[in-house]
Amino acid sequence: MKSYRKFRCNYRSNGNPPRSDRTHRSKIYNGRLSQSRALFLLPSLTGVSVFVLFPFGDVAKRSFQTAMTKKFCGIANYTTIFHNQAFLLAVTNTARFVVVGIPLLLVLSLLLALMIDGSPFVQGWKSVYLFPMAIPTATMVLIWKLLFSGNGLLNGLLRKRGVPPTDWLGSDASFVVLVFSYLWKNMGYTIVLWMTGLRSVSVERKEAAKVDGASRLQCFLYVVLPELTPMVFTITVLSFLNSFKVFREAYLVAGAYPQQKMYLLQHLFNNWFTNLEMDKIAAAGVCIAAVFLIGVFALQRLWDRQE
Amino acid sequence: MQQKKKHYIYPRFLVCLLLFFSVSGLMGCGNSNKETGSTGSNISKDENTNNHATAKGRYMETQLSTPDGFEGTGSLVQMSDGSLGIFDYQNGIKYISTDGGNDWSCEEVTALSGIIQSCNDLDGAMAPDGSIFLSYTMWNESTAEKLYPEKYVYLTADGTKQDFELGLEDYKTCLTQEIFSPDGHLFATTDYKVYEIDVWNQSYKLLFETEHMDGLSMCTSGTQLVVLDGTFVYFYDYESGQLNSEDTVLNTFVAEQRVAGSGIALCNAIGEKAGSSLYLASRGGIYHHIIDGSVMEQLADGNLNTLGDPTRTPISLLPLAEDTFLILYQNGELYSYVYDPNASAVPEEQLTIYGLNDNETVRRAISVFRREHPEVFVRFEIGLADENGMTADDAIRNLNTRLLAGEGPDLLLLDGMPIDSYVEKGILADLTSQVAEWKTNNDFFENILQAYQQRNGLFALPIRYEIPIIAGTEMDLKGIRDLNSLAEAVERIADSGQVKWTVLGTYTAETLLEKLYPLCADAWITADNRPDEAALREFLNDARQIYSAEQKNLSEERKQRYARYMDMVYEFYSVQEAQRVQLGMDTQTQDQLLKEQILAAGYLYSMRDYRTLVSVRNEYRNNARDYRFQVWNGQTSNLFVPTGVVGVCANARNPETAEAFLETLLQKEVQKVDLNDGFPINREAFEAFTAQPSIGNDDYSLGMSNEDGELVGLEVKWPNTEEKEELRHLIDSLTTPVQTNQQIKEAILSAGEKALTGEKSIEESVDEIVQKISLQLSE
Repeated sequence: MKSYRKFRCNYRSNGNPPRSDRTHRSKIYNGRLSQSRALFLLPSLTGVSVFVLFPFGDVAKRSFQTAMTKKFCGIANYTTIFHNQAFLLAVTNTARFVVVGIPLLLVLSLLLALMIDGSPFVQGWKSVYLFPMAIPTATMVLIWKLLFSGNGLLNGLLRKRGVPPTDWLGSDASFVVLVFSYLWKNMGYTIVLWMTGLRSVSVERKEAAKVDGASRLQCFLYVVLPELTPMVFTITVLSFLNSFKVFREAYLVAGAYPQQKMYLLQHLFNNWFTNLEMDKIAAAGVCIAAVFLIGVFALQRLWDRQE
Repeated sequence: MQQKKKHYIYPRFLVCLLLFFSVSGLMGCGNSNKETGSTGSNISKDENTNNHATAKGRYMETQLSTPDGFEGTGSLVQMSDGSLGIFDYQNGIKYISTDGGNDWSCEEVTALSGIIQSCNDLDGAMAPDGSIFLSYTMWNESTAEKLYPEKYVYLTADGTKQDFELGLEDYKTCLTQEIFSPDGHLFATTDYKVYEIDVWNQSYKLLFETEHMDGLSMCTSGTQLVVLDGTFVYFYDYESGQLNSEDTVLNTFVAEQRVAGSGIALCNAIGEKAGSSLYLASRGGIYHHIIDGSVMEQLADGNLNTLGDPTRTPISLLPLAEDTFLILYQNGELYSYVYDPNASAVPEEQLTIYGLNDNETVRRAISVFRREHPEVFVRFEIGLADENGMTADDAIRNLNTRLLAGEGPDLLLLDGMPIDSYVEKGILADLTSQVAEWKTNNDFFENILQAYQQRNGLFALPIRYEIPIIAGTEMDLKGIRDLNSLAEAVERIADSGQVKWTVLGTYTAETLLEKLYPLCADAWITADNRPDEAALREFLNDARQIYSAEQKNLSEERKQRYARYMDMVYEFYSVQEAQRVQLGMDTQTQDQLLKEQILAAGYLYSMRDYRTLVSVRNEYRNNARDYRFQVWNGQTSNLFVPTGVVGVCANARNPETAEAFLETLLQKEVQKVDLNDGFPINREAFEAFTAQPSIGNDDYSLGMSNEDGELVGLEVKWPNTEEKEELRHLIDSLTTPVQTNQQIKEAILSAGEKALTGEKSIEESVDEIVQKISLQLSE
């Protein structure tokens, strides 16, 4: 795409009509490019088509059918889910989790990456922050219970300081627990990603900025941050995908019906599948995929524009 | 131009390929529906048949005749001359068959008749040479020094008789099992101890002690005595006097069979394998095991023969040849198992039943159905088998995946499954017409059978049910109609000063909630599928009132003692059995008699429970105290607890066979047997179900003592005609099945416990429960 655009750009910037042999050469070039693109894309595209696109096509079809008898029912399933209180609650909670969790993760991990980047013990710090990723889910669940149960460590600490204990998993505080565990588990990985970006920032440009009298903040805001912009898209998408994994811990600790603030879309889908509500799952799946695609395209467009 | 065209071939080819995949993929997804018209795709019967037709070879079962009057009180022995022998120690008769068990000649052992007619608690064994060992007690000779002294008789084949006593453990124990080895050694077990008895010197030698005591079984293999104590298998070399190392594989197998409630018969292998291999018969089938080997080789599948029937327990296994076995069952039936290499490994037609948990009545029905339809192989799949470590939700999701793929079972045992959702989604077939047809030939308890009737049809049928009962003196029961009046009564009784420990026998909040949940759960959901906060609040208030009253007279020491007792119960029994100890009427009514609780409120699971209930009532009446029982109502009235709800899948591969099996399930032949899993749904079977069994359930006297050393006697008698009629009326009054919702139950148990113990306020607990229930209901 990039080279094609460059070519188009050159053609436009030139201002002169192209010569016929030049046009011909460019078409040959484009044709070869298409061939090689097609060949390179074919294996992975086939895999994606067979395992993702076609099944999704079936899901989209099922979203207009009844659950098991598969009779066409129009948009009834969509109407049903948008009147379903559990779906609305799960969407709200998931959206809130994404809106709160991902920016927090991005900002905190960037700050930590900046701090670690200048530290003499970079590898040590990285290992410390990556450690939660190595902890198996079953152990995480035990840690959750140790920390957040009624007589857990956290409440013990609170009691010592004279603060009344909180029902971390049975009250609205469960949302804080959810966000905290997401941050804790994914911080290390995100820090590593940010550090990769930081290392790619041109040292000469930073030096030049300093020579021109830029402060550390200015240097970060006007030199480092713009260079990190391509990383934002990747990290955001990865963080979004990782955010779905927090369901495992939530499910194992609090079961299929946790405190309302912890009730995510995955809980709902899990429970719907247990009750064989395939019609609702299909309709909700299509809606969520649409929102996800819109989000990804919006991010990509934003990125392209900034580029 | 040629070049130009070529440029666009690849992208077009790619697009076409993707389109092809898309269209064929989507068509493929929809094909199943077109064929079946309903759920998923079907595997054709032909395909199904072909898969199984390829494997050949199966042990074919044949029932052999057993002597008239023989009821299983004796073991099967291969005699020295190759004939088969059984010594019926109950009747003093020796049976011999020279044609492999087809015809039996009988010979009364006159030398022992006098003893057999006058003694109590008999047991005996016959040696391959025809000599007989008999152990017995004479109750009337019991003294303070010799409490129920056990005596022994040894009768040689030529008629020489020796009477003797051994004084095992100072006459405080008696022999439970005896066997002769082929070389004439006599081995015997008491509870926990294994002896060798020298009949000529009239002495005994303690060989070793076992860890457990239930399901003892013995055989000899070479010079080894093999003893199975229900959990472990011991190998004792009686020549060297060494107890050999344990066989882990065999121990694991035995433990699994014990959990499955199966009896095990074992014997030495014959031919080249003799001395190094064992054969075992259990509910799972016939197995071969090389001692210290790594596998249990299944020779015959219990699902294909009588071994899988929960009403049959193998007591003797005898190999006649490498591929021929005889099995004698506890009820006196004898079957031969002969390997037929040309028979298909399993019958070609298959019927699959899926349930989350095992079910004895279904197993019994499989056995009966298999006899009526030998051409059908009934496969009973259990979702929550011990080895797979699944949760109920995992198992249901797996089942749903199969249902969606059109590979679901033919019948569903719906206990613990989302019945309403399956009905709504068209998974279950409407059984209205079939039930109407069955009713022409059978007389059912209609109130139970039709309990799941919906406006659009009858999709689920209960096959067994438990009855909630509350029992006590007239004065104590007075005014108890529902949960609210029960709470008031319990408080009143607790304050009356007559309570030693508890009123209802509930020591923990969890037990109380477990007891009350089935009686009230229906009241917590409104008609428009919302949680009823007021009903929940009322429930928790009443439950807290009961719990507080229960705790009033309980000391910490007593609570700890009870906790230790329950730990032992859970260690000894399965979880289900242990829960029955807490919630069942059998234990509670006895505790009532011991004055450890005032009211007995629980569930009747079987005639055994009912027998104890009426016996306790008779005991009270004998002491001029008025005692009665009634259906226990909570926030909902006239409830019963279904213990097996069955539905036929609308997409069953063999709908006719599935319906035929369901009919068998409801028929008298299956329903008449008391399997300790609930009462019959078939009115005609009720007569046979309530009839007094001839073996092991005779009337007896029970002596009990409480912690103060106070002795209480109970004459346990089988219910008479009026009492059986009373039970029938009780069943007739039941109208509503308890709908158990595991999520709601968990929410109640977790939040309710906190409310009862005061950890949370009632309001907080109600909010927590409502929040969880709302989530589920709003989905």
